[in-house]
Amino acid sequence: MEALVVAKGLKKYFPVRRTISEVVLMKSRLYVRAVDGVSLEIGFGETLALVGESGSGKTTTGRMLIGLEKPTEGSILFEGIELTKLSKKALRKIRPRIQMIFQDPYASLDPRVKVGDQVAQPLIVHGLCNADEARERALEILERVGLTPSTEIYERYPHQLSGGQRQRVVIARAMITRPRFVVADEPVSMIDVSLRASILELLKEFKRERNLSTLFITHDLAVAKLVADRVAVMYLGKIVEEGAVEEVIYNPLHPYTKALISSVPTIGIRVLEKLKIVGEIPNPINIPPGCRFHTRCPFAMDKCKSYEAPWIYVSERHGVSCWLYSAE
Amino acid sequence: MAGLGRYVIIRASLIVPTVLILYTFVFILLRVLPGDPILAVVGTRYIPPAQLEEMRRMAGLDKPIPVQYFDYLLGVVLRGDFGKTLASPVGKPVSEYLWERLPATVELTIASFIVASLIGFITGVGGALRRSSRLDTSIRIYSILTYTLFIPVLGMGLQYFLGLKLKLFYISGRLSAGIYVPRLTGLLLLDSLLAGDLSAFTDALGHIVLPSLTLGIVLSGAYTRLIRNNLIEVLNSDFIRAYRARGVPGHRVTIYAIKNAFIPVVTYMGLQIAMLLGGAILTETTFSWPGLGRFIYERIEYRDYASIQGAVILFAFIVGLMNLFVDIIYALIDPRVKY
Ligand SMILES: Nc1ncnc2c1ncn2[C@@H]1O[C@H](COP(=O)(O)OP(=O)(O)OP(=O)(O)O)[C@@H](O)[C@H]1O
Ligand SMILES: [Mg+2]
Repeated sequence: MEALVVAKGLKKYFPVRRTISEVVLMKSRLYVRAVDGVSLEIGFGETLALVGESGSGKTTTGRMLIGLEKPTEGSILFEGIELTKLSKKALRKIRPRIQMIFQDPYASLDPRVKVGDQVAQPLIVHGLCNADEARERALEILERVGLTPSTEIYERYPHQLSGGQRQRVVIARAMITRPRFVVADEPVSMIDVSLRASILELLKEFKRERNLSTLFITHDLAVAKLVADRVAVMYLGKIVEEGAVEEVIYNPLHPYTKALISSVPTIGIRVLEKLKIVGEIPNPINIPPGCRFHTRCPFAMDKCKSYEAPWIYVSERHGVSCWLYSAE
Repeated sequence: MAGLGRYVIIRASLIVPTVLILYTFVFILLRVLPGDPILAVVGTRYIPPAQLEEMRRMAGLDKPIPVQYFDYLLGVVLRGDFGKTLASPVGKPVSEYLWERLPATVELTIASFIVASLIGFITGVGGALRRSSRLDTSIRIYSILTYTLFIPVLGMGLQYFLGLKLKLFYISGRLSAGIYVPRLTGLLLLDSLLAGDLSAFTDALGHIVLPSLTLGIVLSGAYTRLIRNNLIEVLNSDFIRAYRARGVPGHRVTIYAIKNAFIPVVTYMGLQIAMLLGGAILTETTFSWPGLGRFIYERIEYRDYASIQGAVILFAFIVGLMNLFVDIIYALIDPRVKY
């Protein structure tokens, strides 16, 4: 069966903003290669976790998948429709079926609009129902995400809610149009630890009830293990390893994945070799040649410095891009 | 709404330190500057030293400086007494002048504020929406240039082109000779309308355009930057992205963003008052505009301490009130402002 979302060769290069003096001096533009050739698939009802350090391009990938950011290159098929070629108007028609849950619940609600109206808005914007029905449905879904009494919550402004409550509002807003595909960008990383589990549980319930497909962005492998079916590990704009969640966590192949896992004490798995990588993630304006991880890799060989590693499937459900696993 | 009352009181009390700082600054400046009010009045005439001493004593200038400082301040605060003029004509209550000059400055300040916000709004929003385009670059250069503009030069340029060459507007004063507007508020545009006198209104308008344009342009750069940067930040925030993701049409998203980009900048109040005061003095002088700024300029020549101090205190107080007014409006329309 075809997957719900199929992305191939996605790239996003951001021009670096120049200061006025640089414009006047006509310095040439540089580009941030935020996403540099990402391919992935998300099946019906499947949750794919995208993990990686800060700055690896996870958010940018997510935004491209829901059509918020136009890829510099590459293709995105959603329900077999090529999103990158759609007109603005056609894209807007698809919007109700693709939604996003944002990282910062303080920043993702308009501070000047009542939360209830924000939840109801997608229905009205898309003409799915009239204002009264929209209000009814908004009250229902507020109740469903655990915000009661919903009639009272509806009238509040964002600053009158706690972080956890806000994130529930954001989830309600995303779910009200019954989307098929949701990008959840670190939905619990800014929420009080004690509330995280209940928010994740809420997302899992929606997934089960509605056969929802999700791209779950996180830098926390422990969270990925909790919610995901599959994991893709991203480094500096590229996916370096991908596979079923237990496969990747219990049998990591890429040195970067190993390092990520050994840095998570709570994950509760025995790590064969403690692996520490040194240094900072390089600047995506100057991506190292060859394998982009070689500057920090303890196993780097000569060819890693000049040639990018091919994608190698070690099993049917587990692939990696690393010269260590190549027969060549 | 009891909360609003408290909010107003807190905000209003911010005016006190602002006025105090400006008064202190000017008080010290006047005493540090070379020149002496009595000698400035006397000029080249010969007056016996004993009589000079007597004049000094009458003006209270023989007292220790800290006493002078508090005497004047307490006079203003407790009795509304702004002192007496030290120079021609000598001994008139300063408050009479202030009362006469204040409306001209209020009118000019409001008009300049409107010009500055209009220019700031259009250029700021334009730059933010077309970020990094050629238009945006020009707008950014404009906003930097306004800081370097010297009001008399800009004023005279406008006087020359729009006034003398194109004869579109008057180049000095508030009203043409022979036109009379009964004083209600002292704001000529308002009073002429209230009196139903349209020709006086257009005459007053023709006079205020150039000075308010001059001061407005110079002040607009700050608004341009503020609005542009705020709007860029808002446009880049997740809730705007969320509107887009929900399929809200682009122009409506822009409106949501603009509504959020206007955050009052109370912290700039003191700075703004100083800038406005400097701007008003230069503009009023360039355009012979009979307001407080020109009054200060005229009185500097005489080192007329009481008049200058009084005008500065009143000016700071009035601008503080205007800021307070803007703040209250914000508080009423922005659900986030807790009071
Ligand atoms: N609009 C933009 N303009 C320029 N550079 C951008 C833009 N958006 C992202 N970037 C850059 O692209 C790179 C990847 O950013 P992205 O936000 O996708 O990373 P991330 O993996 O989500 O990181 P984090 O964990 O910090 O959220 C970063 O270096 C970032 O600075
Ligand atoms: Mg991110």
